[in-house]
Amino acid sequence: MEILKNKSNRFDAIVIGSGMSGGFAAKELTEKGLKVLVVERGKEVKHIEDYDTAMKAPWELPHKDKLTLRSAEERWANNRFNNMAKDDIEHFLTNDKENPYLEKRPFDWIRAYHTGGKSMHWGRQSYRWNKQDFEANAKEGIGIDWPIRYDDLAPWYTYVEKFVGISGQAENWDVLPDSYFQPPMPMNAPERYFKDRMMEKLGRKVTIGRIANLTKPEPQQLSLGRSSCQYRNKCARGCPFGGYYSSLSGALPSAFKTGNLSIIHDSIVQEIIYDDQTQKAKGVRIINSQTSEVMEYFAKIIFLNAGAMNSAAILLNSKSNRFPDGLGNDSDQVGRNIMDHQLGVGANATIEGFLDDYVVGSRPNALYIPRFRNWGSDKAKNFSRGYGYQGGASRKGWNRGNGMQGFGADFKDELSQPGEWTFGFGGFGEILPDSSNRMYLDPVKKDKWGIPLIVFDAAFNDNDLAMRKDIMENAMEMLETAGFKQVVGYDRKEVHIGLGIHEMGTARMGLDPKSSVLNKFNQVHSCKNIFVTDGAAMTSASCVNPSLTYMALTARAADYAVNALKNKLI
Amino acid sequence: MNRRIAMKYVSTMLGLAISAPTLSALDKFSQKKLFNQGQKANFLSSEEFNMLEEITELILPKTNTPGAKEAKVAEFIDLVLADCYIEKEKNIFREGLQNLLNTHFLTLTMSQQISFLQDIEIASFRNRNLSNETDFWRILKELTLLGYFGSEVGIKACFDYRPVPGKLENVKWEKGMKMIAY
Repeated sequence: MEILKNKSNRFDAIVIGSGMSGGFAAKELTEKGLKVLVVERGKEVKHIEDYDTAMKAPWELPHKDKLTLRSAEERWANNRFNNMAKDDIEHFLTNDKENPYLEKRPFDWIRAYHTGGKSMHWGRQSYRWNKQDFEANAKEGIGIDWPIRYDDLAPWYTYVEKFVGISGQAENWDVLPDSYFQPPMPMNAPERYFKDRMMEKLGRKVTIGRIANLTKPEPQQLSLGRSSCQYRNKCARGCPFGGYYSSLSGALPSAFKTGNLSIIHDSIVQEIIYDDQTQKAKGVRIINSQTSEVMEYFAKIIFLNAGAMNSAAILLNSKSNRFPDGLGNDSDQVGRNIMDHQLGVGANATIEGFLDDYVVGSRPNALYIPRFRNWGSDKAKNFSRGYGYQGGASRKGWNRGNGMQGFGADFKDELSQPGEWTFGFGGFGEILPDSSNRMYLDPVKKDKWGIPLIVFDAAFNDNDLAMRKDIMENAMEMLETAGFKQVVGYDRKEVHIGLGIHEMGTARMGLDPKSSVLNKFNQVHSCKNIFVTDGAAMTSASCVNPSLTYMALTARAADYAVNALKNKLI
Repeated sequence: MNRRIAMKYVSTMLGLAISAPTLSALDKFSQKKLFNQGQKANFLSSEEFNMLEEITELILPKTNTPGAKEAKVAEFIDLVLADCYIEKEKNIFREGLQNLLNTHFLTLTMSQQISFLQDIEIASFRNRNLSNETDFWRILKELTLLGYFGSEVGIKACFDYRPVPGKLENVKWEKGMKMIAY
């Protein structure tokens, strides 16, 4: 990737962050002719070339799937997610020891400071919000109303989906609007059986996961060098085939093609510079993380896409005469209303039969069971909103040997054969906006670059906990109803807000500047040339995976921004 | 056949379009150094190590496929104990080995050795119902299986290794098929 060569520090637009939404902002703005600077706080990762572990065989990873003590210590927060910073992807997860944060109440903050951010190893599940998702806050008197509706976003969903490439099955369900799909991945035999039983016995819907992996690439994707998913299921290492969408495989290469993109790495935005005279933001002040050199860059508009928590932190740290409590923070809502999705609760079972069924290829995808709670005639007694499930069936492999008694020649031969089928799924539950769930900047403690540390003060409330209980109970009931055996529910007690890695809400959109930070085009109410289009913008959380919505909001906001610039509205 | 040629072959077979940058990168991947290299640990003494080798071979012996010794399972265990296990677990494991050394395990006949290990396993499974605390046998067996079925020798002997399957297909399992490893 091209490093900033010319000495100029003036651009049409600055995009802060190169991840899921920042990458998309860069693509849209450059394609519309703007000269764009992307500022990435982490190291440079080159698409394909820097996916060091992508083609490593299992035996080439020295510790295989064991977590090193060093990783556990350095990546203490990232490893709260299933000890994920192992040999295969540790280098794509942030060193938490060098980038500390504070927990007044525990918050699981998973970060990826490098080109492409978390889009490098996201779960790729991609779902549109439904109409209700945008209307529920107003109807139920929870939080504030969204300033947009489904129809405002629908064309932008389609636009994003055509570029990204989403594989899935069209179902025509209100609860889960269809996307523009590439062909669905197949379900395996026990999953098809499960799907039929759920509809027959419980009237519950099951579909194959909708996922940003290519199954039939179209010219838009092929022209970027992306090809079909190879069913290796090693997406998180980076895909040398461009089989799944990331900012690195899609948006950034597209932006580079325009010749309008510059990108700088190792550049931490300390603050957005506000100009009291023009009453607009005029640029950003960055600190080079390696040299500590301070630089300023200027632009007509700024897209803030640092990830929900860091975007809010940048606003809070951007203080001026006009904004003593942080840029755009007249409402005191910056940093509040942290939302995420419930994770770490579900059930598992074993399946009798299907022993002559097997699958070739490792599917990087699962089943999706859309929300049924508090939907239509269903009413949960003790909580609002709902949840979806993700999971599926697979055959046990050699590692079942750990739970078996015995060893020796027969044992070894047995483990070389596939075991019985198991079925498992977990819930993704909607968390409600709550102004007491917040993050703020510590008044004293700073990181090694002198930037105040983020303090988290958030926790599940009664609604969330009641929902968790229901997620587990229903998962068990569904597996039992399917006739599966040894059904075991789980609800991991060590899970905190954040672990869903869908953090949202810290600069929410709304109609009223008194209770929200952004307007219906993601502009900061009180500083119209700043657009925040990452998870921070979310007014409620839905229960579906959010990245597709971030990208659609970003494309919509970029379109508005470029028109507004042309018409001298900003 | 280097990886690039192999990939060209695979992609032609499957009729897939693999881009030039992907192909050129595949060439370079084999030289990529890992973030976590893993150094030879020498955590165990040579006496402990030699006995561990014999025990892993009893757990996964050479049959028509290679055994744990050939897959260098003890070396893996030595490395992982050093790099991944906390002090308490390290001590549990070492103590387990020392107990066996004290009984002169290696001087026993093979059938005595096997019944000795069976006793340890039975006790371990009994403990599992009472407590979540790990024990010598649990660590030993888990790492032996991981070390073997995650090794090049083990994977290539026991499984059908397909690093780039290129397709996803429901099939019928038939006798003589091998589990696929990815």
